[in-house]
This record gives sequence, structure tokens and C-alpha cells, in this order.
Amino acid sequence: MLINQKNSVKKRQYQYSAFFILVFFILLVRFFYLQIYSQAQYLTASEKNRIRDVVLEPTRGLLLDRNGEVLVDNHPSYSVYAIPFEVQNADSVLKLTGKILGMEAGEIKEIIKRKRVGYFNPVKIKRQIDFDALSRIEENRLDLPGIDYKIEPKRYYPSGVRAPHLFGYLGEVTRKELKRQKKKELRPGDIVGKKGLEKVYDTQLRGVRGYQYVEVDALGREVRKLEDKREILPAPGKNLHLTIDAKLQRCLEARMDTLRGGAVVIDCENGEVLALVSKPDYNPEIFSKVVAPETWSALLNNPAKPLYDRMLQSLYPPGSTYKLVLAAAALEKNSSQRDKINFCPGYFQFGRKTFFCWKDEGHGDVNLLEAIEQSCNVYFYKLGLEVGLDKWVDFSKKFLFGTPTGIDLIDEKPGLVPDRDYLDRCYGKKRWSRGLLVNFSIGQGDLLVTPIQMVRLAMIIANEGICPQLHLVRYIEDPIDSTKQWTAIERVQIKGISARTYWTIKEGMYLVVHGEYGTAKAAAYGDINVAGKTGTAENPHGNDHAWFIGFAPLKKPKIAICVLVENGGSGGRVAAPIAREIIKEYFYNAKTNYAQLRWNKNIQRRIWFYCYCINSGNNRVNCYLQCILPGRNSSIKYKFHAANTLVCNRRYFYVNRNCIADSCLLCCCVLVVWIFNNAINFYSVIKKRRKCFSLDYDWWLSISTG
Amino acid sequence: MIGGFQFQPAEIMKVSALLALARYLSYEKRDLNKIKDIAIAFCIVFVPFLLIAQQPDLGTALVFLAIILPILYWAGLPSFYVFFVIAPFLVMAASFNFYTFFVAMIFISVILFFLKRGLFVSLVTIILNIGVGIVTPILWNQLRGYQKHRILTFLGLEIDPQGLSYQVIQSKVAIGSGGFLGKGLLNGTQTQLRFLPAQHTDFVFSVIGEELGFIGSFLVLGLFLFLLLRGIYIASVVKNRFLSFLVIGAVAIIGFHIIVNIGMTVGMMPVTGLPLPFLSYGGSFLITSMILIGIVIHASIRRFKY
Repeated sequence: MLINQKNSVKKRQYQYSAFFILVFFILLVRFFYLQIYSQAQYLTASEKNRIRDVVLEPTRGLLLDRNGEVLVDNHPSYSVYAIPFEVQNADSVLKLTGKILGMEAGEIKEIIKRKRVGYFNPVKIKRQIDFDALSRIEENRLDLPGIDYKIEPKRYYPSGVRAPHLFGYLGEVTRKELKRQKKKELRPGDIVGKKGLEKVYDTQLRGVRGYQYVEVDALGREVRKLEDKREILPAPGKNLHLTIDAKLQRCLEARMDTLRGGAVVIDCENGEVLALVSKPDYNPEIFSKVVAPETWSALLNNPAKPLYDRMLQSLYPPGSTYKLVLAAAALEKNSSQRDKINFCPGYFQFGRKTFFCWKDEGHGDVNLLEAIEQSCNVYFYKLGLEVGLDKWVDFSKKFLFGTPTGIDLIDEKPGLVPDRDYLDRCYGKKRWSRGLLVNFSIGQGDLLVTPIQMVRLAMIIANEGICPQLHLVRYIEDPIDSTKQWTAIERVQIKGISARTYWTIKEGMYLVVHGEYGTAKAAAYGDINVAGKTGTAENPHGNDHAWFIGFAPLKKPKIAICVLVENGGSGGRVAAPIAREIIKEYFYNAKTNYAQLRWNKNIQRRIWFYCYCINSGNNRVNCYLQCILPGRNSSIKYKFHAANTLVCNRRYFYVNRNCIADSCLLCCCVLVVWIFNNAINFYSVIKKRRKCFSLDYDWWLSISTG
Repeated sequence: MIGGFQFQPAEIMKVSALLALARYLSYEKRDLNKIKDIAIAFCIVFVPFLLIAQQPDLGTALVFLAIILPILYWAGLPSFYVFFVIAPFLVMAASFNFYTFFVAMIFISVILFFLKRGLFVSLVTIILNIGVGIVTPILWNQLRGYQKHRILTFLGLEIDPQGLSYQVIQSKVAIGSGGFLGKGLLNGTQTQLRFLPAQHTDFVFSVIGEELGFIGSFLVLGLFLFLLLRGIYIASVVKNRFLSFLVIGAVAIIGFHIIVNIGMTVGMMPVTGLPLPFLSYGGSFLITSMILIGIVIHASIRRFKY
């Protein structure tokens, strides 16, 4: 009997009790493990569960010109988002959304599938909806759970400056870009810079995301904002203060609107780009909207190729403008080259081939300066053969051709200098003749340059060998604490070319604009001494390309210019007038009025004269006397131009009547110089020597009136 | 459905089967060394087991199997028979790997040696178990993928983040994040924000774990253990055979529920729909529990001879 077997019952009682105690002990150990041993791990898991971070998008930085005018600004636009978790099985919601946005429900589903990151992160389904669609979404809010819209900044261009190649445009980040990024900063659907400055300075412009923490329940619905975890405010993108002068840029864009080509103006002193125009262009606003495929293909297939930045990405033969490089090579080789005379009959026979000068009847006897002034081809054919290919290549590379300028834009082409290796590769060893060199010496043939490289050449000549890095951004400003990060300017010194060589080239370039037979007389404006060189580049694509490169003023150069008009014709007739426009705008109209600038320099209590005579050969001596007259009390009471130039060779004296005393002094001075000069001239005529005395350019006089 | 509220007949069946079993075993002439008597006792619970397993509600059905063994053992069933029933399941679990199978077989042999049931019976048992061990993997491979998947998920061996495993993960997170002192009553984020599924029914213990922490879990576990030990004590001192069986059956039912339910919330047991006595929401099981406790209290009154 069971009941009577006391021992057996006791035994079983203990067995049962022991079993339960054991099992409960195991459970307790398990609780200990979960709640005490690994509590931290589960606590973070539970926090992750309930806290959802809502991204606060930063505003993109602005682009401003050098005077603080806003060039690229932000406008609000609305983008529609969907939360995948809530809409994935709600076909009616997708259908209604599709109807409002003009999309198919399946299309939206596809987008969500492609872009989603997790179930609760909103996915952007359409950017920049119009106000109509926005109000309809707002109206049907209750029927559209999981669909929301956000304000997203859109670019707009209030200043009237188009410059699409400069600014670039924005677009949604691509899968490739997402994969390539090192830090995980971007998410699908983000807007990033695709071209131009927007791309180069994307990380600075973008800003840093902020987060807001909200508590959500298991269905992902927001319960409340969290107090114990503070939101992180987004850091707005930094503002780019460009080197661009909006007025100059606008003026140039308007001037070149109907042309194909471009122009670039830079500040010689520090390599700041004041204006950079490439035409034809497109309206940058196109890309701040969502680009329709038709618009895109129209842009892409346009025969004029408006998407191309001609200043950086197109390669052209430089034509006669490249003669300056050859002239420098020749002058370095032989300093007396300056006065060496060659006869130009209008053609040049080399072997069986005849090369022509642009002027059929020829230029007659010309020296180097005149050859530059009148752009005589024959003189340079001969010079090229004298200098030789290696020397020519050497000097091309000295002037940095074949290397990109490193300006802060993307896709810059390096150009091409045809050296011996290249020619061997291209034509086969020993299969090319020196006839190519004849072509190279006037900037034709295989030689290819970009306009931005040509302006660099002008700048190097103007600075006498100092080449500051070209750049577009003066400083990057943090909009919150206004700290400025200035662009460091690197200056490269070009070696192996003497100041004397530079000055001879400058003389020649001065004559191009101001000489009697100069090819770019149209580039002169007012009393600014401009130095320049025209080019008319033959090319296989139709009419000649018109070039003008130059700088102004001659002494203490301020700006360097390069103008290119594709298939425009003669450089002197087409490109030079545009340069004149630039000079007029920069020195007389623009905010940074050059006259004012000079006025404010620390020369106010002194009268500065400097005079120089330039021997242009043919028994002509051009004598210039330039005088800068500041006011007596350093005020602007006497309102005369800061610079009064007296051009002697026309026997006119332009003297401002407001300062008779100064004028008298000036007259005396001019007279002295005049007599001095004529005497020298007379002397040289007697001696029947063509070489005339010329005053060095830095022979100047200063008289203190303080 | 009776009069507007649901009632699960399986709950009544638990009590009914217990009463029937106790009644059957309490006859004087029952001899638990006879196979026939044991077989009839098994039949009493197998009928409801099969019916409920057809519902299908395997969890509840298993309760009936959990009643029979403790009662039979309490009634004097030799240890060998208990072992004979349990051993094949052990072998099944171990049969998928040769080494575990080998260890299990040695383990069985050792226990058989201590039970001293004679060479022949021991050998038959071992051969049967070896047979089970060989057949199980073969049968397993005959199953279709989704069938395997279901069984594995049920046993908690496979991860299914959307379904059953999701519940277990959230439950573990809830309990684990509670820590030593808990997040405080009504402050549990997992609970209040409804990340924890079925928190008022099956996973109610996770709420205690999260909001009251280790202390709370310890207290509740202790109370349950006290209840069970007290029941066993009553069963052992009660003078009536029938009542003794009833009490030990009640303890077995309640204990099985507690262990399976709490084991489930901490991820040690597969997710079955078994509620926690006195804590889970749900009328039927509460009534069952009350009836069972009523029986225990009744027996407790009757333990003295007047």
C-alpha cells in the first residue's frame, strides 16, 4: 500500500521537491544572466527599439561674389516621402499618392524598394512637387498614412549671373557615389553637387545633418519628443565667397551671349578669377528643377554643346598668341634678337612647301617688336627654325603648357605640347620633318591649349615669371561663427627667363594695342595702357578661332584677360573689342573702380611721373609720359582722373585744367623729356643706326609736393 | 462561446482528465507493475491529448502528458517505466550527431545498470533506443523544408525574426533591460510602447522582469516555488489516496505551466501558448487554476483524521 509506505512517500516528496527546486534554480540563473550579467546589452537594444532619429537636413551653403552679392541662393521646395513600413501593404494609399503625383502605384513601390534603408526611414518618392500636389496631399492627409512631405532647399540664382559651368548643379546621389564614399555621410536620396563648384566644394557646402530623437511605439508611430536625449541641430553648409566679380561676369555674359567661345579675367596679383564665361551655356535653373528627360537630351544633343565648359575642357590651337612663347625662347637664346630685322615678302619658302603670311603683300623689314605688333608670320617662321623644336618645347613647358592650371573646377584638360616623343609616336620615328616646326611657331599644328592656360600665360608675362595658383574661392565662411578660411595662394616662380625678356615681350604686347599698326587697337579704352596679343587660329572645324590675350595696365598689371570666340574670324576684329569691354567695365564701371583703387594707395602726397620711350623701329620713337596726380590734401576735392597720360608722339597734351600749377610742372617735365628724346633721335639719325636709345621702363621721376 | 464570453473546453478537460486519472488509480487493486493498468491510465489522457493536438494546440496537449508521468510515478510506478518513456526522446534529440548519440547511449546504459532490471529487458531497451536513434534522422530527411522549418522554429532552434523569434527576442530584451531593480512600474519602455507582444497573456512575466527587475522576478519565482513545494507536501501528508493523486496532478499542471511559460519568456523553452497561472489574462485558465488550488486546499483540510 502506497499510503502506508511512509518512506517511499517521503522519498518521492523529496524527489519532486528537488526537481522543482532545481528547475527554478536554473530559471533564476537564467534571470541573473539576462538581467544582471548582460543588462547593458539589452538596455541598448531596448533604447534602439524605442528611439528613432529623425534627420534634420542642413541648409546648403551659399555662393557669393567678391563683393558679397549672393550668386547662388536657396529656395524652399517640397519633396514627398513615404515610410516603407506603413505603405508597403496599403495599396489604396499608394494608388491615391500616385494619382496626386501623377505616377503609377507600382512605380512608387519600385522606388521604395530601391531606396529604402530599414522599415521606418522615410523614402523620398518625388522631389519638388508643385503647390497643387502639395495642397492635395495636405487635404487627403487622413487617407494617406505613411506619406509625408518635407521642405528641401532648391537652388536659385538671384543675381542674374548664369555661369552654369562655374557653379555646376545638384542632383540626387547615385548608387556609385554612395559606394565610393569613405565616411558614411550620404544616404540614398540625398542631394549632392554634380558639377562645378557645387561638386568640388560639396563637403563644405553640404553641412552636417542634425538629429531629433523621438520615442516611437512598436508600429513606428511617434509617441513624444524625448527630453532626456537632446536633439542635435544641423550645422548649415559653409558659404563660398568667390573671387568672381558679379558685375564683370554679368557684363561679359551679356556681351558674349550670341557667340560661341568664352572669356576669362583674372587678377594678376593673386590668381583670383574675376570672371569666367563659357558660351553657349544653359540656364542653371534647369537643374534646380527635376530635369525632364527631354530637356536633358536636348542639352546633350545640342550641336553647340552647351554642357561643355569651353574654358577648361575644350582644346584649341592657340594661333598667333603662342608667338609670345617663341619670342621668349628666342630672346633668352639671343638677347639682341629684339632688334634683329627680317624681311617679310608675304610668304616663306621651306623646302617644297610655301607658308604664307596673313598679309599678302608682306610686312617688309620688321624687327621682333614689330613682328609681334603686326603679328608677322614669316618673321616667326624663321625664328622658329632658328630656335629649334627642343628649345621651343622647353619654353612651352616653362610656361606650363601641357599641365592643367589646377583651378578648383573638375575635368580640366591638360592640353598638348608636341615634343619629340609625341611626334615620334604620332608620325613614326624620323617620319616627320621640320616643316611641322614652322607650323608650331605660329601656334598651329598639333599644339593644343585651353583658354585658361592662355590666360595663365598672360598672367606669367604680366607678373614677370610669378604664377600664382588660379582659384575661384577667396574664403569659405562658416555662417554661424563667421570664421573665415582663406584660400592659401601658392606662387610658382618660372625659372630661366629674365626680366629683360619679359619687358621686351611686354613692349611688343603694348604695341599690339597701342602701336600704329597694332592688330588689337580695338582693345584700348580710356587711359589704360593695355598689353595684348591677338590670334587667329586656323582649325579644321570651319572659320578661324579668334583669340585675344593680354593684361592691363602695362605697369603694375592688375588684370589678365583671355578671350576666345570659336569660328569668330580675326582675333583683332572679334576678340579684341570684347577685351576692350572688359577693360572698360573693370577700370571704369565696376565697383572695384581701378581709378579709385589707385587713388587710395599710399602715394597721395606725391606726384608720380614716369616716362618711357619705346623704340618701335622704322625710325619711330614712341615716347610716353605718364603722370599720376593725386589731390593736394589727399581729398577728392580736385576731381580729376588719377592718371593723366600725355602721349607725346601725337603732339597732343592732355592736361587737366583743374590743376594749373601741376600742369605747368608737368609741361616742363614733358618738355625736358621731349627735347632729350629728340636729341637722341637726331643723334641716331646722324649715326645712321637704326638702334635708338630707349629709356628703360623703370626710369621714372618722383617729385614730392608734400 | 457561451453567453458572450469565450471558454476553452480544453481547460475543463485538464481538470476532468485529472479527476478521471486519480479516480482510476485510486482503486485498491491497481497494480502499476502490470502493463495493462498502465496502458489504461495512459489511454485516459491520450484521448484528450489527441483531440487537442488536432485543434491544433500542441502546447495545451502536452499538458496532459505532463500530468500522467508524475501521477503514475507518485502512485508507485517503477522508475524503469518512467525512464523507458523518457529515454527515446532523449535519444531522438541526440541522434543527429554521432558523438552526442554515443554519449546518450552510454548514459542510458549506465542508468539501466543502476535500475537493475535484468539483462534481457536492459538489452531490449538499448536496442529499441538505438533503433529510434537510427530512424529519427532518416525520417527527418523525409520531411519537406517548410515542415522542418516549422518544427525547428517551434523548438526555438531556428531564427524567424518576423514571427515567433521576434516575440522571444523582444521578451528577452524586455527582461534583460530591466536590470536589478527594474525600470519601475508602468515605466517599462518595451511594455508601454508595445514592442513586447502578448504582454498581458503569454508574455506577462516579461513585464514583471522589465518593470520590477531581478528582484521582482526572484520574488515571483520564489512564490511559485513555495506554492509548488507546499502542494507536494500536502500530497505527501494527505491520508486519502484519491486526494493525494489529485493534488500531485494539480501541482504537475501548475508547475508545467509555470516552467514552460517562464522558460519561454527567457528563451529557454519553445514558444507555446501556455499561460502563466494567476498572472496571465484569460478567464478559462484562471478558473482551471482556481479549481486546482481549490482541490489542493480541500485536500489540505482532509489531511488530519478526526
